[in-house]
Amino acid sequence: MIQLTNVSFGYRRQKPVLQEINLEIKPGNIYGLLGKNGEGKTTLLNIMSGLLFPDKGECLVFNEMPEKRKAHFLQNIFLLPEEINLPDVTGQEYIKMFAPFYPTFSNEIFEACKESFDIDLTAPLRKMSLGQKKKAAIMLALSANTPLLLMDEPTNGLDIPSKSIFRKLLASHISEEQTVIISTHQVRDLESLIDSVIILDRKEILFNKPLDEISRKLDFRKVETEEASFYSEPSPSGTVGVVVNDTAEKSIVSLELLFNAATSSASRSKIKDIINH
Amino acid sequence: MDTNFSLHRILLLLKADWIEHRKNYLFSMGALLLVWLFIIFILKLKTTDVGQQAAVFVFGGLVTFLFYCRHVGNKVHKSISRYYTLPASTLEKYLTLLIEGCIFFITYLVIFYSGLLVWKLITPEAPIITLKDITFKNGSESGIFFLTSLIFLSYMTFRKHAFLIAIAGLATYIAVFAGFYVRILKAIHDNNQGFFKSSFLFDSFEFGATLYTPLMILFSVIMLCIGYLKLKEKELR
Repeated sequence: MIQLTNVSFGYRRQKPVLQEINLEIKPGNIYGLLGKNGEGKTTLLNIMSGLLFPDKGECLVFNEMPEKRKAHFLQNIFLLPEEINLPDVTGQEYIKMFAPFYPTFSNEIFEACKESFDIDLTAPLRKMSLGQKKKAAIMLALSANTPLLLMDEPTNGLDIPSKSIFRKLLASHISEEQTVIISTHQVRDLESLIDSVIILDRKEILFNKPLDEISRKLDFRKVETEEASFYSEPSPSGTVGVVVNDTAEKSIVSLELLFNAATSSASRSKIKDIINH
Repeated sequence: MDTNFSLHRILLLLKADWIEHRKNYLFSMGALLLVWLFIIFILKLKTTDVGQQAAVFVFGGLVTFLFYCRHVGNKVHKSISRYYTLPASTLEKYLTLLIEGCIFFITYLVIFYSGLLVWKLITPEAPIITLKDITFKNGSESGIFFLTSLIFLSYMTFRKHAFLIAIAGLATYIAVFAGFYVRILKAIHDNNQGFFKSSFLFDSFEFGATLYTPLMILFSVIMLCIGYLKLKEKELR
């Protein structure tokens, strides 16, 4: 569905944000795109949606080059940006303005979102709080029901109950044919939601693997101080760490531990090797 | 089938624009009508002077055009993520902007003539100008087409001070052209050559003058094409 081959991109010459990126996204999965601030997550989503051109390499989405920005291509993707710029209209008008552009728009999903988020769509968007604006934007993003949904930090600005509602809505209304890529640095927001994880670190894709596979290779648990772990950190319940899963059982992946271990200088290369081989 | 162009999507773009800006449009139309009625009833147009009406028409047209250009500028420069990720091709978005320009002009005509009709009902002897009365002389229509295209392109290109930049650009162009013209005349004078009819220079100038209108139209069309490319370029943040 999405194929990036040796993609490099920089906003300034000599300062690449992404370097020689290779990535394959398969249809029917929810991907978590994780990375620290400024690692290029938004840039990567913008390249996939055709808002940015790669300096080098090739990006293909639905076997098309996104930068051509053909109308039928744009009908198949929805990009929910981190900073939403909503028009000066009511929530109802907002949906009325943009819904007809998406042939896949689902009234059923829209009604479910409206009920779950419980926002007054008759109110002007400019008078809404950041969280409410975000909910309105998420409603449109989910209801558009496009085959590819790109969400950049969708939970920023949402309160804790709304984050939970967002997860439930996404889990229950995304069909098997749809692909969702959610970029975030708040890894806990994605737990129990994503099927695959992509970690972007130091201008490269560290790995892109299904959680299932990660859970077979690594174990995330309490560790003894003398135990050989790739990475460990103190927690209220003792020291927790990442170790090789040498049992036949799958472990429960802690995204936060995985992310910290993968981006820590000491354990980065070991984690990368184990997961990729 | 060309899926990259659809009239339906142009209608959707127009509808979305109307939903978003209708309050602004209705307010501006009301304000324009009030100002026009104020000019008619308070300043009292001379009943026989179509020239005065023409002057007001041209001024009002300029104000409407600048309002439209500001609207285009805001759309192109401010609402970037929302406007550019809409599923419509650049051509559809650009044509929608141009169609909006036509709608603005037609609306302006309706408001202008509505005011005049009211005036005519009250003062039956008052003349009403027709578009024919406002006809410009010596190919000025093409000059106006050029000027409006230049200002439109400036608003598409520059986020701030677009009007001033367009006028400054035009002034520079005129100054360079005038300087060039004076130099030629001076060279002719210095060489004691006459600028007589049927001389080569005279014929060249005559030929240049006949090319004025087609050249102005050509440049205007080129500027509108550059406007399209600018919109395409803006899509890449």
